[in-house]
Amino acid sequence: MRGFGLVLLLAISGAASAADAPWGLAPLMAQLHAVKHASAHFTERKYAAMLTQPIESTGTLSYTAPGSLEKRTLTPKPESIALNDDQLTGTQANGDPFQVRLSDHPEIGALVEGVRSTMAGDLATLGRYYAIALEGEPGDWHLSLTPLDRAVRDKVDLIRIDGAGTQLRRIQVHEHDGDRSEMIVTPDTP
Amino acid sequence: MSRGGRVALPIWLVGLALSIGIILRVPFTTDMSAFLPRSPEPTQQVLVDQLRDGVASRLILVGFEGAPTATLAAVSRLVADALKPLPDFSLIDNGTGVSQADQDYIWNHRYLLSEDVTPERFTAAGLRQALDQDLQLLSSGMAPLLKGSIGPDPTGETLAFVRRMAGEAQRQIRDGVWTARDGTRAVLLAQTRAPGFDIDAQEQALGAIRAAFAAAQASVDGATAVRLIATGPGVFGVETRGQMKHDVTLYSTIASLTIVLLLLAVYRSPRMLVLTLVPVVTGALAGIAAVGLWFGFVHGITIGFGVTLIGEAVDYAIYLFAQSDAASGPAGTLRRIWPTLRLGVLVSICGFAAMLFSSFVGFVQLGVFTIVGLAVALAVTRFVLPTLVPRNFGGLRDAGFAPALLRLVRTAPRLRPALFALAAAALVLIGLHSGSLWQDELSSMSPVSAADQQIDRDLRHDVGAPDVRAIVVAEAADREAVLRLGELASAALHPLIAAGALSGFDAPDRYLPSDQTQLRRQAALPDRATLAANLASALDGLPFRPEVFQPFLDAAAAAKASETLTRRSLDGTALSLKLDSLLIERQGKWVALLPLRDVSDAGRIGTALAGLSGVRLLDLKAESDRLLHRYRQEALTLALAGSGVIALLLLASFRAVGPTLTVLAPLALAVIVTLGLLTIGGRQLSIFNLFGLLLVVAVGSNYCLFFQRGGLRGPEGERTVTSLLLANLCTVVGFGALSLSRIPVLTGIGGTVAVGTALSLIAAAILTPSATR
Repeated sequence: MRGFGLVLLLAISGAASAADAPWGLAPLMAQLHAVKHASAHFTERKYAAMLTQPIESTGTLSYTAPGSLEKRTLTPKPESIALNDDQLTGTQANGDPFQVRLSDHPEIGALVEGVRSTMAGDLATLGRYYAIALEGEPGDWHLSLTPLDRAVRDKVDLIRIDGAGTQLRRIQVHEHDGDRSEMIVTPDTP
Repeated sequence: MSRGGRVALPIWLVGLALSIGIILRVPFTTDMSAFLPRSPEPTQQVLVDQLRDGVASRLILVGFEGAPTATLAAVSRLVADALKPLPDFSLIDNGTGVSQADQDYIWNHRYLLSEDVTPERFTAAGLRQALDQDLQLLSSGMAPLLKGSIGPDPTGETLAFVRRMAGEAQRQIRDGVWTARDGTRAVLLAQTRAPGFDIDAQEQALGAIRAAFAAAQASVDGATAVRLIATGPGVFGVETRGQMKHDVTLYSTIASLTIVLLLLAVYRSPRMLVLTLVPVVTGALAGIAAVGLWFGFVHGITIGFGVTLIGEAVDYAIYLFAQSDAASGPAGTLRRIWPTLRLGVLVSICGFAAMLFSSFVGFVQLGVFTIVGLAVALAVTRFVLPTLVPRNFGGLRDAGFAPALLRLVRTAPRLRPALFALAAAALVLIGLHSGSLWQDELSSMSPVSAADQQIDRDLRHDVGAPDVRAIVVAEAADREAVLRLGELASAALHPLIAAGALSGFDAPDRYLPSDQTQLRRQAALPDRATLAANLASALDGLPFRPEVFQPFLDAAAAAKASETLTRRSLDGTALSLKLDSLLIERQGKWVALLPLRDVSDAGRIGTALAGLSGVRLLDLKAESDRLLHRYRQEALTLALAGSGVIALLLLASFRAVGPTLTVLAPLALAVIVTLGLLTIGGRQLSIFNLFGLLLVVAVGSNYCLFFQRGGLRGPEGERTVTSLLLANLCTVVGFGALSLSRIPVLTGIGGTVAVGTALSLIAAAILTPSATR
């Protein structure tokens, strides 16, 4: 009888959360988590104190659940960087390939998990690296991620991700010294 | 008291006093290097030096296991903090980052240290290429972490240096400390100030680590489950010494008690028991004193083994007492057995003299100890013992089994065919194994268990310490020359990484380039005005603000004008320890070591280095095995030479071939059968078995001499065979107990001697039918 009661309770609460719960971080993450594949084009602008004008780069983004994210830059110079679970691989500026484990370099993890964990709807990982704030509504939401690690916070103040539904639209990184980058994401229609 | 006794007794007492006086002044050492060889070839000297006091010998690898990674990391941090201020350690590293001193050294001297500094790099075209890469870096996601160095170091010399270093040590950091790949173990690396062979200092360092661990365990939640593991040459040394002490104490106590009980049962007189020990104790004291006078120090192992080796001296008193009868008394018996006894001791001394020519200082000490010890013990037996025997000593009560024993000896020759068959079978066994008769792997001599060696390998893997197997060795007259030679070797090795012959290597010039190279790099930097002009034209059309690169122009100008780096520039850095392990001064010569990683094609590497004189590729495993092979060969040669000298001595003494063969034949058969027994089950022989055989010849020859003397009839014959059996029983018990140990050297010698001497006695009885006539 107790087993039956538990099932009943679960059924009720499940129905309740689907129907009545207000929209928020958990439902958004659950929605994002359901997306198994996504691809997009991007245009990124970098504003930096050492530059006289912002530099622009373009390329494609591709995500496959749960842990693969690839950023392929096409202009001004072809370059590619891929994240597979714990492994970050790519090409250095001088052409040599590189490979790092995020677990070996937590500060790199704190930079890349913002986007990947958001796309994966992985609230636990996101919460490990950032303080999270969500504003807006399902059709136009704004996620503010503040790094928890002190050393990372010395470099990066805030990562802000704007989205609509399960699609990311804009990713901004505000660095502590005032530099910032802005990536406009245009989802490829499937 | 006889006239001889009146003279001998005072001489003996004075000698004893002198010996004890010397022993009290002589320093004793447990420095294991006395048992490392003296003068091998130059490449092998490098190996021996590394074993002795190389940086590798000072490493203690510490692991923490058995709890979640976060707990392990907390323990690791606390232990590191506790150990860092201690004077026992020159380095404590648990992965909590490159020290500030190291960062400063690399950053401040990047233009002298970087392999990429060439004139082309600082032309307008070279700088343009670097700036393009910087721009790319700035727009990448990693910019927040890396962009700070763009202004002062646009060509990325620091980044390149750090990357090369990181490529060497592939380490895993979790929760801020080094861990195993899967995070189940936190790893800490401690380098002691004292060399690895200084076992006392290593024991103290290990004690400090254990104390720090206990304190950390008490203050971290959930840390009670954490286990500490520690490995490394010093740790193994401490454990081996402890085990050796334990085994030697335990088994020699067992053996001594058994022998004492045995002798008491036979003598039924405590006084006679004490007298039996007088020659051997005097011999041991004199032997230690002689070694002290000769070498200026005495090794602990010399005493431990030496006393075992001259245990044969107990036999002298046994022969004397057990063969005495009421009619002739000890003095008369002595006159009768003296020629045999004297010859027996001479034979033993010839056998042990072989050790005097060994390359191991420790074995030379053993040789001196045993020769002096046996000679003194014999002299004491001859001149002192008779005067100490109570006047009423009329010999032992005749053993009830003695007549039966003598009958057995008389019928023993019937077993000749069986003995020959046994020897033939042994020869076949030896022949079957002749290809793999000897253990030529150094690890076979190691008292460290296979499980401990595996833990050591795992920890080494965790900290990215190269499992040093292949090393390029460059040798030259001074530091500058050897650094240049090392740079040439590096240049030859570099292309082979891409070709797949190896995956990487470390080199001393990475941390301290030769003066020549530093000057060349300084010359590669243009003067300030030229560099500014090159930079300006490189910046043309790029969105960088020119003033960002002011620090770069300043740093390049400073580097161009600076003094070149010396070893002192590295003082206080962890890199200096690294350098000191790769750049070594030895007897006025300098050696540079380049440890290689994952060598897959040693032939190609050898070919690439062939043109460089003074540079060699050293396969440490093969080299150390070759070293052992050499010592085994040396031991074999010495043993054979010793046997030859013994044969000549017997020949000179008997002036006839017949009696000489009568003595040698049983010994030869005993040695052959012992060898055969040792190879049963495909077991291989070690250098220790060889030393054991030397002892078999030394001790067994005494038995053979008594049989060769003949006259084993009546009560006298009964007493003689009883004394031989008693003497042999003492030897078998003493050495048999040692063979129970887990330490290869004790097992090897103990088992061989116990089996071999018993076989000598039996073979002598079987092969000497004339004895009982």
